[in-house]
Amino acid sequence: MSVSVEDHIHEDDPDWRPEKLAPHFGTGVVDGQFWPRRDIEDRIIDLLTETGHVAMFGLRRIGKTSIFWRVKRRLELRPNVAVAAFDAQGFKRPEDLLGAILRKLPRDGAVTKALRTAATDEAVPSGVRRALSTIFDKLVDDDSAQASLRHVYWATISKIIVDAASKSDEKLVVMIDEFPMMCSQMLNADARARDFVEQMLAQFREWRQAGIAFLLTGSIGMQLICRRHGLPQVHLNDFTPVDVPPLERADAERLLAALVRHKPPRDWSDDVGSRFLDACGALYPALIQSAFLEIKLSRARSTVQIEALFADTIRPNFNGRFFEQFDTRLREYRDVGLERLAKSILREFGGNRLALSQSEIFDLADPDVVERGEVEELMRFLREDGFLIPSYPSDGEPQWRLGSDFVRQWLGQVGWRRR
Amino acid sequence: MSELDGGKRRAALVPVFNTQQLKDAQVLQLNTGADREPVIEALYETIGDNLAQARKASPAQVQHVLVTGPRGFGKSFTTRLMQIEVERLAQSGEPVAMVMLPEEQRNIFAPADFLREIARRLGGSPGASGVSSWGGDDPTSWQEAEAELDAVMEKRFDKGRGLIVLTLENFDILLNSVFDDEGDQQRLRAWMTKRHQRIMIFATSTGAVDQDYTKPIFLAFRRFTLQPWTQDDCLRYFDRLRASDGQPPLDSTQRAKAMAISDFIGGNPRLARLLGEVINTNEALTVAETLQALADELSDYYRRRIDDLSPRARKLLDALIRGGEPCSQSDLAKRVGTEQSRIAQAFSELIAEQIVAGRSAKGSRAKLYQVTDRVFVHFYKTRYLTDEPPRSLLATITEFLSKFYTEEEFAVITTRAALEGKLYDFMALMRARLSVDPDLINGSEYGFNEASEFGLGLIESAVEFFDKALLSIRQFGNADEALELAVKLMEELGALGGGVEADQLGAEFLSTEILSKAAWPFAMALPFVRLDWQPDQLRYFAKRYSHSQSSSSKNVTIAIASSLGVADYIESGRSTCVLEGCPPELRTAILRVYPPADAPSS
Repeated sequence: MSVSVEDHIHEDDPDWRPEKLAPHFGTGVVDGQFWPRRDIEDRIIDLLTETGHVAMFGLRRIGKTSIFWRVKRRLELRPNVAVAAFDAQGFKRPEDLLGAILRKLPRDGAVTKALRTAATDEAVPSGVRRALSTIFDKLVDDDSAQASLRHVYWATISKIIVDAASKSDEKLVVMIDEFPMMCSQMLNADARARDFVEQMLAQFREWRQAGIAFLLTGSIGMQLICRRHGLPQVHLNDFTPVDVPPLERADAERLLAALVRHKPPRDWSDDVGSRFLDACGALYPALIQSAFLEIKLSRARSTVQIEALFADTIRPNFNGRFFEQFDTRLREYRDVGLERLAKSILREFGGNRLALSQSEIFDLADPDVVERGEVEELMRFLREDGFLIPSYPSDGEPQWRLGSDFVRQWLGQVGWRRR
Repeated sequence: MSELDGGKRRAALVPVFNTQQLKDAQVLQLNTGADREPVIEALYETIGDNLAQARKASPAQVQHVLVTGPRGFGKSFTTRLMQIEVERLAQSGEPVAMVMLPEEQRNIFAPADFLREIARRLGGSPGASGVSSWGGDDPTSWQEAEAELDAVMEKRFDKGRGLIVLTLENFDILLNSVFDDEGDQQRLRAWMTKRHQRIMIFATSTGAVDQDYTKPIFLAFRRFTLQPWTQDDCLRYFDRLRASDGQPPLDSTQRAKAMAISDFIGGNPRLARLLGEVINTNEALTVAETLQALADELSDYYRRRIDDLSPRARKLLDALIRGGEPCSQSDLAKRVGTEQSRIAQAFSELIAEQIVAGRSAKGSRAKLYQVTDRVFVHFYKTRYLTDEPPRSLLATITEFLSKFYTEEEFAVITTRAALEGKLYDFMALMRARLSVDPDLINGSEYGFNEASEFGLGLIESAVEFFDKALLSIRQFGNADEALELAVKLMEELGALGGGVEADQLGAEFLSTEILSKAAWPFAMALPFVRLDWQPDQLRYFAKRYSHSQSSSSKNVTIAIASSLGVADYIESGRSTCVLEGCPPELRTAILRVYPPADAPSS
């Protein structure tokens, strides 16, 4: 029996979850392997299909890529929406990115039609026509064609895209996974890439103004990259950040139940499941599935066995990697002179403190050393890197909480936390 | 040159163990390891789940797998099991095939070559067709190779709906050589995770290659870590091995030997396989030669295990072996002149690589660590820490011998070594024997170490050694062996000019419970006769011992005298002075058996 995309999505039932889930670990998942994150998906889709643009940055292995592909699938089911989605990993040069965008544009979309028309339009410079023909005909990267795109014709093609998008009723959504990593690698590898990245960010802004929606995801944030390389952050200030927090306990319980139903582990019980979730700490789907596979393998069932398995195997292999990410990201702030303040803020959460208000955070900064604007910038860094998540009460100033229990666990073991 | 050097025989002693050369039935029969059963089950299950998806028009993401473990822990064996499983599935009509790249992919120079090699093998093209193109590391080459591979997949299965299990042994080497560039690694990840991917990577490596979060393949695999075999695993393995040869299961003595092997090799399955043969021998020579041959045979393997470590971890390993094991982390830190916290990371590496393991010290919360694979220690010491070859091959494996031999076996082989005049073998065996009793280890250690100076004429040290040996003699339950040994020891001591010391030692021997019953001056004096001492000296010794009780078993005494070559003694013409010191009854008995020309009549 064939299974359609809709069978995995249940657009009209936000509370729907798969009855059974085959555990998977390692990479982003799609369709029946995906555990719905409807609140996050819906928010992203609402933003993209209206007038917004989304930046979904955060730690690796929290489910961004899976959400990315799920959002793509759901958007594709909508009438009058065209999606160009791709993973920017492996793109070493600007032309790799530009070629990918052109190749991923929907074949029958309005923008593609405009570009195809341009490819045969005598009024268009012959170099542009040749480059477009090569890409559309071969559907593979072509070095010389893409190099031409980068150096000579990009502005021309960009203008064609903007014109086509602004005249079309069709909503074009460009989704780029690992966008910040790609920018960072280009910038670090080649000093001349800075001009291109700036130009690209500016042109993407023009695309957005023409109605093309953008979803950028990545395991590092863009704000810090902009600051380090002197790129104007104004090119990104129309993006709405979307966080990916761990699952709520009730949802995690449903996920675990679905995993158990798929192939029940030997000697499993509700009690074992409950102790298992307690031990998980931060309830990200990837961690739950990874730990579930380990516990199934080890056949640990008692409290002592489960705790030993987490202590010896799961936490070092999974949580430990998160801690490394925190360490590394925090060190990056040193280059921009904000590491000390970041530590001061995080230190405030060292006990059982649940939240800090925006004004409390401002109070931690020495105004003679760090300007108010820099503090706000730092808060954006901390959010993009998964350290903190804001909430906006209707009757007060923003409150900042730790991004997940992983951050609290990490804080519990860092040496600098003790003043 | 070692007393037990048997170089010519070594090559034949170490059996070859190449999983690829084993027949399927042998692999399945030898598949052992309680901790591994669920791993193998889970791997089969993963292949089954991926296959179920691969049959679909729109399959879910393929689950890639990484099997990690130190060298010799069974990664190739596990790969072989998967090969058999895939063949079984394929024979039952399932759309599945395995593509095995060589153990080391030295024929792959660029990322695109990797895909082309898979396509070539999958399509059954001859090796000659896979010549790498010049400069094939650009994105275009990768995409073209990917398209070629997709086309081959399409032909291989109906509408391409099938699963390829791609085995990549030593995946870490491939990553570090061919995919060392960040962009290339990102391309690899994108290929692994692309929609409708029906190629499942089954990779093996010595370490986890997907743990660096800055790398594209961060946590991209479901990882299985192979654990060392437990003692039970080893025993089960040996029983299966014997069953495959039509032999009965291990008897109790052999089980003890198998357990000794298990301890010695630190649960390393490859070594268990290679050492299986020595269970059947009681020859210390064969055991020692096998181990030596094994260390020689595995020298490349051990070098690579060392090379896999970071420089700091290597330094700690050296300090641990050089300074003596077991050792606590804090003591190890002192050895290298720093604090424990500063060696923690490098030490964790040694644990993670399963090179060292800790156990709780008696009456203390501190953990003491030692290298789990003792063949490795043997290799390390002989290669890096010894200036000259050991004088006895056995000296390098005393720890192993102590667990390998039963008390009875020890008594026999120790005495034999003494009687054959193999002093250093004897010393090694005595050391092994004493180490059976932990209470004796510390007290004996100094004496034994000093005894290694025996050949330098350091009599006092040697005496001290013999003193420790005495402790062992006390443990003998057999007066004959005890006496033989005592005589041998005294003889050696006397040969070094330690007459007075030998005399003292003799007195001590005679004071032991066993020897006091069987002792008599004749035998005690014998060494000095052999050393061609003068009659006055012999008489002196004879008198010294004459006060001891006469043997309650004349037959035993005579038999001992005989075995020691009493005839030679009597023929020396100097028996009178010794016999004078004998109790009358004994003297009569001896002379009845060996009537010498100059013997005094009773």
